Amino acid sequence: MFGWLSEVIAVRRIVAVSDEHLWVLSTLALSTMVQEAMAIWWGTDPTPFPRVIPQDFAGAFDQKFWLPLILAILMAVGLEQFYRHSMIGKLFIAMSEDSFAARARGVATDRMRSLSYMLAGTLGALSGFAAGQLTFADFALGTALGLSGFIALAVGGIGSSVGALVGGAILGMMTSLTAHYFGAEYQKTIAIGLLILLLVVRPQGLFGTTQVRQV
Amino acid sequence: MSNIRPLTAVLGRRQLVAGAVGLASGLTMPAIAQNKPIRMGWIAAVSGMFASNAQAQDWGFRMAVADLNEQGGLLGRKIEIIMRDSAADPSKAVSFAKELVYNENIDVLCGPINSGEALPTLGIVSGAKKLHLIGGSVEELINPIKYPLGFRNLNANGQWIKVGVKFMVEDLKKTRIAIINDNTGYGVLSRDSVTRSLATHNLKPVYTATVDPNKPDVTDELLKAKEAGADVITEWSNATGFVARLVNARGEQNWNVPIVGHPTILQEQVAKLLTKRSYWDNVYGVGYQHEIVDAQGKLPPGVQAFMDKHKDTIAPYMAAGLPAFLQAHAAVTIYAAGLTKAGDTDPFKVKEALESIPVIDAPYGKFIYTPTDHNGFQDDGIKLVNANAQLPNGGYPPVKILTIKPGGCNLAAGDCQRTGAWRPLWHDGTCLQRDVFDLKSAEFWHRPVRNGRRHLHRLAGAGPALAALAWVSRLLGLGRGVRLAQRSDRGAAHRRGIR
Repeated sequence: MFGWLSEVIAVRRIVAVSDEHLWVLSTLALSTMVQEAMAIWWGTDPTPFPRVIPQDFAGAFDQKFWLPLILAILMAVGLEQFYRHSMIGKLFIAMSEDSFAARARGVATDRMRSLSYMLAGTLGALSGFAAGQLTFADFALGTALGLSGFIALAVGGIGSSVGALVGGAILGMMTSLTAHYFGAEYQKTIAIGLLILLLVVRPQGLFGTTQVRQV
Repeated sequence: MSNIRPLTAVLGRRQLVAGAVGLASGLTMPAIAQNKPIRMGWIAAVSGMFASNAQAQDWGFRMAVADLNEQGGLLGRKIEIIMRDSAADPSKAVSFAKELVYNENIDVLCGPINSGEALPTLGIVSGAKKLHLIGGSVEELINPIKYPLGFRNLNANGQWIKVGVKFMVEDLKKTRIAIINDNTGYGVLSRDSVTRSLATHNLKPVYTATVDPNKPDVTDELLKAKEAGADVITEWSNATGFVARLVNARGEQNWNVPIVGHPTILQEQVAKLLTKRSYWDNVYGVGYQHEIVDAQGKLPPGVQAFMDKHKDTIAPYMAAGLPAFLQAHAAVTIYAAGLTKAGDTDPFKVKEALESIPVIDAPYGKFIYTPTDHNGFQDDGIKLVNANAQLPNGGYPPVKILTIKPGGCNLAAGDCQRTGAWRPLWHDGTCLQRDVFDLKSAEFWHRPVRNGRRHLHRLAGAGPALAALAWVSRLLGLGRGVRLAQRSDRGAAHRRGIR
């Protein structure tokens, strides 16, 4: 629901009147407003997150460790299947490659865009439920997780769900190794620096493909 | 005929009138100044990141001023508060400091109340030659040569660390200390400060970890500390989520090593994030003498009187803890003491007065300022408290560390009965071995008669034999029930002040 609302508020009108990527700024502005509102309503301290599955033990088999992993894999596999085997998934890919061409072929691009935001909102909510036990419910979490998500996506290759998973794993490993060998003060600088290096060498990411456009 | 000429002939009527007006106004000026209220500038971030603590401080400040005004004010003048909300934004704090010292013509500035905001305001307030009561704990905020009118109205961060380290080494008798801090500037500075403080006890940390406060799990760091042989963990972070993850990770590892750390660890907010509240048992945070209750559960008289007087409005601010509102109260108390002694609002006279008062006894604690030290707060005002022992009045019982010495017990019989931790049956002159206590004690205290194990208590006197029995039963897997009871009751043991 919120995914759809953000499309209506921050994207639809801007995309209709401008060909530029101004919607990136408007969604960023909306997310900042929402974050501030959360801080005002619920406070700036993290709040506890309930168990998704009832559990009365703790340890290595705690759901807070395996739930996010399983869900991430399920979501990645599900998205791949959705893109490959469903008509709406194929329309999503068509729109991401060239929305004008898709519209010319009769695709209801506005509706597809709304659907894509709804899907994004659903996946975000599921991820929140899976990770909430580890991260707690914190108003400022979006920025930290969002940055990590972008890096993982860029490493894995934009458009590849499996790539995003692998990218996330690489980022996590690099961050942990950096913290271990050099200290956590430098973990972000070194991890992101190495990622930039990787992207310079392979700009399309590990699983991305170079798009050739016929002219 | 008299030679005396009328004044009108000498000065002229207009000059006389002007002179009379001038004389009258000159005579009344001191009277007007006497009636003018004392203007206290007050900057607190009552909105934004630190809002809950700042709102409690704001309440404490206003109540302290209201109490003084009720008694007739200071030097016979009422006190007026000119308050600005910096919203935890240093740039706003700077603008408000400028406005207050230059436009609002305040007599003293109290706040900002966190170090990040206070640091950039120092030069402004010092340049305007206004008295400044600084509410941040970072060491760099106080420098009597650079900022001669700046006085701190709480403890410095180094004092927390010094007292915390002393507690671990001298009270808990721990020597293998692991430091876990977050990677913020504060966390890294505190880590270095702890390391220096340990060096004064000829100790080095056995393990040090600087961790991203957003890291979702710190089990890895904790296991490394365990492998390094740590017997106590000290954490320095003010991120509640990070601190809670650390306490959770320790609880989930069933590693009941004490955690000693920053006052954040005492916040109820941390307890809410714990998987089990019992994980909070063996956790000690830096608190204050003004939070320590007596045997009747009463807070120190000054604190209790203040809370009783304002009991109708205090409720929303109790969650932030007593130190929050008492800290702001201290700012008012300190200024009042200096002003009363100086008898004048001139900041340099108040400064000299503050430096010459032997002790300023605020409910927050004792302050002693000298010309070379404007920190004031005394180390003995800081006390470590057990996180899970907070009472409804916001106070804590004093931490009682009882050591069961091998072959001897240092508890008096009265102590045993009063705390309820030790049954008189137990304490019949026999003494426990430390190993026996560690392995079995919880089971013994809790159900000594009901489960028909009275004979085991008699065995307690035969410490080594029981220890051997316990080890054998554990090896054979027979002690599961005992261990379960021990696990479930370990929290109760610590609440009763026994390690």
